[in-house]
Amino acid sequence: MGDLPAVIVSGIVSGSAYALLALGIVIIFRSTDTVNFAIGDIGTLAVFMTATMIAAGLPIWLGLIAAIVIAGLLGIITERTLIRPLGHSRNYVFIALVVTIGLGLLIHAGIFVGWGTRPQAFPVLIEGTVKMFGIALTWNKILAAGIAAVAMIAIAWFFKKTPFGIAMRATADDPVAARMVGIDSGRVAAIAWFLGCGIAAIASFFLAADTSLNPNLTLSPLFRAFAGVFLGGLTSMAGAVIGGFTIGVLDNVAGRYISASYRDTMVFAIIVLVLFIRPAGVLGAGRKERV
Amino acid sequence: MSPANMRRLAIIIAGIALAIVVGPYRMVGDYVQFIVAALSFYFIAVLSVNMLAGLCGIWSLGHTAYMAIGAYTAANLTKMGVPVEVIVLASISLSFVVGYILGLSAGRFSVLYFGLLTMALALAGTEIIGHWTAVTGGDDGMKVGKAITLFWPQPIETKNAAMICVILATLAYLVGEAVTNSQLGRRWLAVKGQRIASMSIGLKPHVENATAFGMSAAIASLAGIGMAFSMAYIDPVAFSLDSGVTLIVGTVVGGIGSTLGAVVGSAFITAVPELARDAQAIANFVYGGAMIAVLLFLGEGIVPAIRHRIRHWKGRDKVNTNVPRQAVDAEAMTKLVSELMPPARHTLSLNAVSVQFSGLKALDDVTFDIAPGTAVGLIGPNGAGKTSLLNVLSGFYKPLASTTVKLGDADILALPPSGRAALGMGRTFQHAELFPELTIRQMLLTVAALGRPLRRANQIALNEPEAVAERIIGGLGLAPYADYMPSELPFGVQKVADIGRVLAIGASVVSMDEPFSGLDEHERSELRAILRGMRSAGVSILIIDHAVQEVLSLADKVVVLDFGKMLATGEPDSIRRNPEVMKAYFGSSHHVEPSPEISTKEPANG
Repeated sequence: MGDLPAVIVSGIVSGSAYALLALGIVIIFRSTDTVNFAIGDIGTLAVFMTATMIAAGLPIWLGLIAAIVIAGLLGIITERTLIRPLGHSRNYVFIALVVTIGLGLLIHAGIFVGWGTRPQAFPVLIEGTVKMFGIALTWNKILAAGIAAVAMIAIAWFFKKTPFGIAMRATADDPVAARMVGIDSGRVAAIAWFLGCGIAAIASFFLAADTSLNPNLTLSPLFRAFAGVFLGGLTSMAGAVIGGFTIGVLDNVAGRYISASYRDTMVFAIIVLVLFIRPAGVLGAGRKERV
Repeated sequence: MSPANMRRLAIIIAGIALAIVVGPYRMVGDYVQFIVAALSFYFIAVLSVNMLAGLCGIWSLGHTAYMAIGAYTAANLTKMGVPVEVIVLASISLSFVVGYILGLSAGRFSVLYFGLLTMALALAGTEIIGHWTAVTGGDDGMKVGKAITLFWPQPIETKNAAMICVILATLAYLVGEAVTNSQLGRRWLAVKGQRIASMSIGLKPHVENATAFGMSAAIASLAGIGMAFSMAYIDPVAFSLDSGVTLIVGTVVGGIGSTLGAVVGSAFITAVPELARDAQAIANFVYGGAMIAVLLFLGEGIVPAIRHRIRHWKGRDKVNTNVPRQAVDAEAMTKLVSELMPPARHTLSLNAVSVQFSGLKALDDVTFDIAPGTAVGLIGPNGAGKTSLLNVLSGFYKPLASTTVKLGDADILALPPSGRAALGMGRTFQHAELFPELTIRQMLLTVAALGRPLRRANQIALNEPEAVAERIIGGLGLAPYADYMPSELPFGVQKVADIGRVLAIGASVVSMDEPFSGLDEHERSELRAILRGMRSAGVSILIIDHAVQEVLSLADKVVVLDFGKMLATGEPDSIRRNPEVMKAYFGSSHHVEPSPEISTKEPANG
């Protein structure tokens, strides 16, 4: 077990992508009660678009910003055109989920049509590797983890300190009361979708830089992000982040010491175990039923 | 022959005819055989997902796991020369057990969490299939032998396996229709629509969910068997999350909770990839686009939307609320109640009932008895703890350990809500809480069927669910509303129907949460007659209401709560004059004079 620190560090590094995606899922869920299944695909599409721009000469740093903005705008469009028209029917929560699954299929198909089926090379932000606890980590990964941390702190600041962030939290807690005191629920939804999809784009960007750019870029990370959301609870932003990192570490530890070929199964087992002990997640609010 | 049986017969004949056409006599070409086979096994799979979503509100993205159980059972058992019939039995049993266990947990989570959990199951399932080479052949897949059946001399060729698929699909269709139109399906709809109210009529939601999930899983495994025999080769791709999503597409597009919808949905998911053979991306475009379009514009899927239009077009959309009302006949009400509800035999005794919500004591040491056949009124200002007390009685709140509640010798608190219903405890709800997807008649039928053992134990002559439901519909004047969904009915009618529900269960100890609120004068006098009828039939009643006059004039004993504590208890007259009650409840110590129209109590046993 001598390599345990190394396994944990690389777990944290890969966990930062899961944590970002999980945070995006929770921000969107809290504001519009929608589990956005297409969040990874929106991020991936934005990165495909920026890859084309980077190939045409856009500096890579601007590319990252462009990806965030594009994904955020795609998020706003999605909310306006697909989610808001659903209204609030009885099965709303699941219907909205299914709509985003449909959107995911569309985006997926769109990427195939636009960029073909082959994975594409994607530029790396910084070349080189560094040795840490006896393993080699690429600077790219470390930078990714760093930017993820910055993004998370920025999000936390936004929700804690800015008036609009506080208004958004109020809306998540009690939408009706928030509307009564004059908070514009449409703007809250738009900003939440922008933020959620924007940070998903950060995750997609670094996943692409880490391997290569392909349409299934976020499939497996999204599954782990959901596992993280389960752990932390769908309503807790801090929980989602902690959950994402935890899954990253557990996934790596289990993959190293138990079996490398049953990683999804073990992530699944962890989710099931946690949910049986705490159905609303470790930090999530309990479900209340009124009689 | 009844229309339902005619339908069944027609389906069986059509199924057999199609099976012969695509069977070994080579009446059609290979391609048609293949398409019919695919349609059949997709139909089975979509039906299993559709049934679960429609009847239980449980969405599964992981049903491909059960298809895999069917397919790999078929592949492995044919190698040993086991006939199809045995394979079918083996895989439905196995899938039922696995599904039942998973389904038990469904009630613990919200629809959303459970949906995501089944998604995780699909991913884990694919991984297990990919690595468990001994049983599944791993990522390379495995060959499936020819099907051997007890009814055919030679093994069935792969292309002729379309016959097996059609027969399995016919079976699945019959099972699906039977479940949807039976007591079982109605019970699931009750649990889906009103979990709490369903427990109060004796249902155990987790067991109902588990049974439904188990049955649905068993049906899905049939799809896997059909798939295995008609493809001759199976690999993990067929059971991936993508396929699970495809089944959801089929369910949503065809229409949730409709067997015919499953036919349309499976036709859609079979046809699209066939028509877009050379461009997989186009199939995904169509899937995604259709899914979004249906949900945005049709809401409920193709078949229910068409049905809705037809119904609208026939002009049978709105309930006629302008029904002339019959005068309330107190004697008839008494007769109705005594025909359906057995007299209470035991005293319900509440001892030191205390409930604490973190810091707040909602109920503090509340103690009183309800003697058999008496009516106890519970009054108190808002926040006094009245509804909390009712929720302790029905089993939805857990009181502190010092509390005891007994019906005769039976310790009520040790029982789950469903167990309390079995002892004859019933309740009504402040907001009626009818089952949103059952008509009034269907609800009464369902509840009457659940009330059978109770009525039998109490030797009540009227016991057939149909007869009980008819009696209640007639007796409560619900006939014009009986075939409508609760949401289509005025609130007062819903509350009367809620009382019909306790009549149908055959309860002998009834708690009522604000029965008078929201009723018009006619409905109030109807309710008074019902309550008097219950008393003279010997039913014990606990009534909570803000209509203090009504409570004071009906109850034998009144308990006054204030801030969770018992303020006073006694006969209505003494409560009326109790200055402390006046102060807490009305803010002054004026006497509450009974209003003239309801002050005259009916003579006992009236």
